[in-house]
Parts: sequence; C-alpha cells; structure tokens
Amino acid sequence: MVPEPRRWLTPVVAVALAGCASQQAAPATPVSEKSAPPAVAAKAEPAKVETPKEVTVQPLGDADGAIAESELCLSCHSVELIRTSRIALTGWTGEMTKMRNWGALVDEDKAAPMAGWFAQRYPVAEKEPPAALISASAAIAAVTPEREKQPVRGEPKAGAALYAKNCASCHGRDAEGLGGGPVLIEAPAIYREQYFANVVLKGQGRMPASPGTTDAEISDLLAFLRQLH
Amino acid sequence: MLCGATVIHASRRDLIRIGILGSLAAPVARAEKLAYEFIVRSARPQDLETPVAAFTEELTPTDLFFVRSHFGPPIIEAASWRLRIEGMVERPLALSMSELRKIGAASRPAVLQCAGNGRALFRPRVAGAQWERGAVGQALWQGVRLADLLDRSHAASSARFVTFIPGDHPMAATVPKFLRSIPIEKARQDVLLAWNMNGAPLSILHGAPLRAVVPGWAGDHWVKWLRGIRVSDAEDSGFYMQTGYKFPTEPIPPGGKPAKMQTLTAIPVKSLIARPLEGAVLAAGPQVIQGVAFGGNGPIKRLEVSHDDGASWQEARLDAMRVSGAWQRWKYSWRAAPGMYVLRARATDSAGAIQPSEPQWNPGGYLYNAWDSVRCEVRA
Repeated sequence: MVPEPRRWLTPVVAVALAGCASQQAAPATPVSEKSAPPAVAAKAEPAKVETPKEVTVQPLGDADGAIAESELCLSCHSVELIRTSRIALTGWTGEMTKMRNWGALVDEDKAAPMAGWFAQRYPVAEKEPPAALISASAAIAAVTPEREKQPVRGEPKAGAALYAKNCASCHGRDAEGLGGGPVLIEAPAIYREQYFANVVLKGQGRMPASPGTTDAEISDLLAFLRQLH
Repeated sequence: MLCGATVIHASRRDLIRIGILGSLAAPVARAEKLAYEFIVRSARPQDLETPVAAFTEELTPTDLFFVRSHFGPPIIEAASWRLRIEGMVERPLALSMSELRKIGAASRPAVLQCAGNGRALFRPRVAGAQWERGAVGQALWQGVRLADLLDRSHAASSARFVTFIPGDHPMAATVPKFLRSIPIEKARQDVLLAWNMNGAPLSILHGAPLRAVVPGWAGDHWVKWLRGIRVSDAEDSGFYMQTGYKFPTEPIPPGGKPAKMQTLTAIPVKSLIARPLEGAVLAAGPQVIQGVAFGGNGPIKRLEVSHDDGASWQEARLDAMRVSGAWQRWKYSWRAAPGMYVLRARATDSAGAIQPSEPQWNPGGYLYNAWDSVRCEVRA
C-alpha cells in the first residue's frame, strides 16, 4: 500500500521571468511531483512565496494543465471556483501565489505556466457555463453521514498503525491535511463507509489505489479516524 | 441563472401587433414559479446561492437559504459537544446544549448577507465565490444572548474582543482557520449564539449545532459550527482577521490599489428586486414590482423604483422595520404598458445613505450595493 511516486509529464515550458521579485522559497519539506511524497512531516509551514513582479509565460499544454488542475487543485475544492474566475493572467498569478502559500503542491517553476494555462483556459471575455442547480436534500446528503446498518466495528489502535504507515505521508500525521491529501478530522468522508472504502480501494486523483485493503482494515481505519477531533 | 423569455413565433406576433389576433392572444405572462433549488457556486466547499424569487417572503425558506462554507462542515457528535468560554473570564465554562438552553433564549429575525454577495457583478472581475444576487436571506434565529454568556463567565472589564472559535477544519494545516473577532460592545449589544433557524434546529449546512448571529453585520461574522468563544483584549492574529474581509477606507477606481483598508462590519444600504424575474415576459396591465431592502446602519427610510434604467424614480410602499437587523419588504404597483424595460431599485437608509448607481469596486469584491437591475418585457 506504499504510494508510488507520481511522474510528472514533461511539458514544453520556457519560462522567462522579467524583473522577478520572488524569493527562492524553499518549503521546510521539499515537495516535488518527481519524488515520492515526503515522509511524515511536522506541521508543514512553507516559507512565504511572493508574487513575481512581471512574468512572461509559456503556459502549460492543454493536457498537462488539465492534469495539474485535477491533481493539485481539485483535491481541496471542486472546479466551480476555478472556472468562474475570469481574472486574466495577473489575477491568476496572484491566486497561484496565495494557493502555494496555503500548501498547494505546485513547484516554483510550475506556478507561472499554470497561471498561464488558467488564463487561457478561462478567458476573461468568455462567459462561464451556466451554474448547476441542487436541491437542499441533495446538498445535505452530500455532507451527511450515511445511515449505516451497524456502526463501524474496528480497532482504533490497529487503524492508527495502518494510517501512520500508509496515509500520514499525504494526509498528515494527525490527519490534519498536508496539501497532498486533505484533512480527515470530522470529515463527512469518514462517515460515509461505502464512499471511503471506494476511495481507498480504487484511489482518487493523486491518491493511489490500494486494491488489497480488507474490510477489517477499512473498519480499523475508520475507527481510528472517527476518534480524532 | 434563471432566464425565462417566452418564445412566440414572429408571424403570430406580427398579427397581434396589427391587431388581428389581439383578442385571441394567449396569455403571455409566464408563471413565475419558485425553482426550489440552489444555484451551485461551489460544490465543495459548499457555496449555494438562493434564487431571488425567494425574496418575496418575509422569512427565506430554510431549504432555499444560501449556504457559504470556507471548508467542509465538521461531523460533530452532539452528545460530547460543548461550547467553551475561555480567555479573559473569571469562570471558564464548557456548556452542553441543554445547559445553554437553560440559560435562556431570545428570538429575532435578522438578515444574513455574505460579504461577497454581488461579487460576480463587479467590473473588472475579482477572484472568489462568484455570487450574483442571492447570497442573502432572512431567518428567524433563536439562541442564547452572548451578553448572558459573558456575564455568566464574568468576562473581565478590560476585555475588548470576543473571538468565535469554529469547528470546521481547513483542507490542510497550511490553510488558515476561519474565525472572527468582534468588539465586545457589539457582542453585548445584540449578538445571539443560535441553535434554531426558522423554528427548527440548525441543519449541518447552516452550522449545527450552534452559530453566531450578528444583526446588521456582514455574514463573515456569523461563524458556524461553533466550538467556543474566547474573550481577549486583542483581535485574533490569523489571516482571516488580519488580511481577509477588509475594505478600502477611501473609494478607489475600478481595478485600483487601496492605500488603506479596514475591517468590514455593518452591511451598507441595499435592496433587491424579487419580482419580476430577470428576462420575464409580463402581460400589459396591473403588475407588481416587489422585493426587500436592508442595511446595518439603521432602518430603510425610502425605496424607489425606476422603469427606465434610473432616469426617473417612483416611491414604493415600504414595510416598517420589525427590529434592528431585519429587512423591510416593499411593493410597487405598476400599470405596465407594452415595451422593454430595465427596472432598478434604490434604497435610502435613516442615516441618509443612498445606494449608488455604480458599486464601490474593491479587490475583495465585497459589499456590492449598487442599484439592483431586472430586464423584462411587457406584451399586450
């Protein structure tokens, strides 16, 4: 169940940073898509990155940008906030800085090309697609625990050991979230047993699949996670 | 976005125009049914907007009351939940829900408006949840007075702020927790910590088991999923107090850079047109234009309506304000003649502040309060 390193597709990128004022920000735990996710880190506090003053950018290619968006952005929030932001390159550059300061796992040299991709993908002049509609009952169901036939009967201690070995490197030692994987404390996901099992077994986005996980191990993980507050 | 022009064949319309089919014309007024669904501005975290048609009602139905979240809602175990009262208090407390209810409850209607309602309408556009007109609603809130909790815990006389400590968890440890500090004078004045909304316990969407109700102030203060309150002599030092939710102290041109910012608090004067809907096709004759008006700086004194995009104005009938922080509904009876119209509404509050024709642009896209606008067509 050890996560495999995710290999970054090599984009054709030529980045010219004119008058760039950004520091060479080195996060406490260096993170790059080319290497395996970091070993369990203490509360990661990356050094603050600043918005470069002027940027000429070769945007990421269509496919690479879509992968980056899916794996580096959509792990924390869904796509609407991105595709309704019609804010031009300056706006996207600022947003990339803010998101990287908040733990988005975007390498320094990928930030400008990603901003370029967003600006092209979501042009200011183009009207965004119409918003989806949702009923209150569906909205509540999306974040409410499943009504389980029996409560989870797992062993929290066994779950803690499984978690530390297989999950903590992305989700944080105390499930507080590390940018690679979101927070799991009191998360609706850990109260939806079927959904949780699916994600563990089949993976999701950057999270690799762990097809050999047993029902007992799922229960142990849930028992451990549900006692975190 | 709701859009509803009725389609009529050109040939038929031509015939109606020259009078041949006038008496046989089928009713063109489209039934304006309330679509019982939110508009999804973000699925995760949940930012769900109310369709403006809901604002014909005094109390916004809970199933249509807008939802704003920075993060996901926490799944809180009711039995073990306590509200902690800590900081500059002689008696720190940890109160269960039943203990809170025993302290006593107050009830009041109050308007909750997201600080970012209308953000999508600014030009140039800014980043953030792209609310249009419906990140607002009025509910009847019931809960304990924060003043009673401050008394019970013997808050120090030198205390100056109360910070709401929330229960929702940021996606990662590097994302700042969302919380708010409010001046203790406001905390004592009219703030409730509410467990009930429109007569029923808070749902998970609206901050179960307890949320802050801060009448007249923007929604960022109305912290959900409360765990505790901290009494202190300083505002919280985190991002959401020091950087987020700030507004320029002086007007700046659209796209400009503010020299100085201040914490946004009271909602500026504002009104919304609930009917007719954008793009509506109405029958000529008696029609009603209606909506709501509200603000955090006193009651609304006057509400005016325009049919000609602000060239001329007529005064609407305006309800009295029930209590500070509640909205006032208004109605205008219109003898609608055939044509295309741009309806506008503008409110004036008791301090004399009047809604502007253009919004005050700011980098955060906050506190949009320009005249509301609805295009409609009237047909014979």
